[in-house]
Amino acid sequence: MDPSYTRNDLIRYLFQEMTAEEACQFRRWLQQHPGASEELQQLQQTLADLRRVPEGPSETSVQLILAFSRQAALEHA
Amino acid sequence: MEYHQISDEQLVKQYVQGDESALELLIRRHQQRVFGAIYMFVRDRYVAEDLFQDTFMKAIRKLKTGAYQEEGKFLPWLLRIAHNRCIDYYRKTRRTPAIVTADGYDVFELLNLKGPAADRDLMISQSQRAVRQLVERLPAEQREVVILRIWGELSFKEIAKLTGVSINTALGRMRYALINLRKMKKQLKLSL
Repeated sequence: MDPSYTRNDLIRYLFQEMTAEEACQFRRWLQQHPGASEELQQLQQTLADLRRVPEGPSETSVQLILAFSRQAALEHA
Repeated sequence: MEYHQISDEQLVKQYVQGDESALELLIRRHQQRVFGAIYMFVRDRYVAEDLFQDTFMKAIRKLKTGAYQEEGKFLPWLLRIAHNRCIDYYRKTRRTPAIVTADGYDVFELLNLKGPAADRDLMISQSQRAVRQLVERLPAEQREVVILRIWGELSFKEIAKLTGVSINTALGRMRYALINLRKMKKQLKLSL
């Protein structure tokens, strides 16, 4: 890696936690550093795999919470 | 005004003022992230359902008693409650006396190992299950960052604050987690 950037910057870029200006500079830097660019691609692929795991609660859980809230509202009234 | 245009803070305000429908909108908006984060922590659908309910019930008590002060940060606040409920759960389960079999195995550990194959997994696809199992194999501190960033959608700054480490440590843990996941995927010859 170039001393001006650390490997943590790849993660900041990957998760879009750079400012627009920083990201633009970083993209230019990546074009000149194929090793870092390849590492970024591998990280992107793994991240895409991870994002495939959708999970949601059951409708029963949601209804129980809503019932709890209505009960709490009556008690506070 | 369209539902998606109403901010969390506006919904919280409406709820505190007695509009119960605002709570349902908040739950629907964040249920995936909150439940996903809890689920990846505890790795048990039934426990996750309990902790999900517990998280919102705790949040409701705080909202109704005026204890919520975090303007503009509803989701991170909710995830902090969820995170604390998960930690409490682990503390409680660790305190549970271990029942040891005649062979010297901890029964609770055996149950945990058998757990992922149980019926709770019928609800998710093969590839989702594979991804989840890879995440489960990560060291705890890396798994925590992955869950909070990817499913919790907290920033690294928020994760650093929540877990008591520097931002660089949180970023480094994520990087190692992604590298480890890639290696595991190769070793296990998984196609996701």
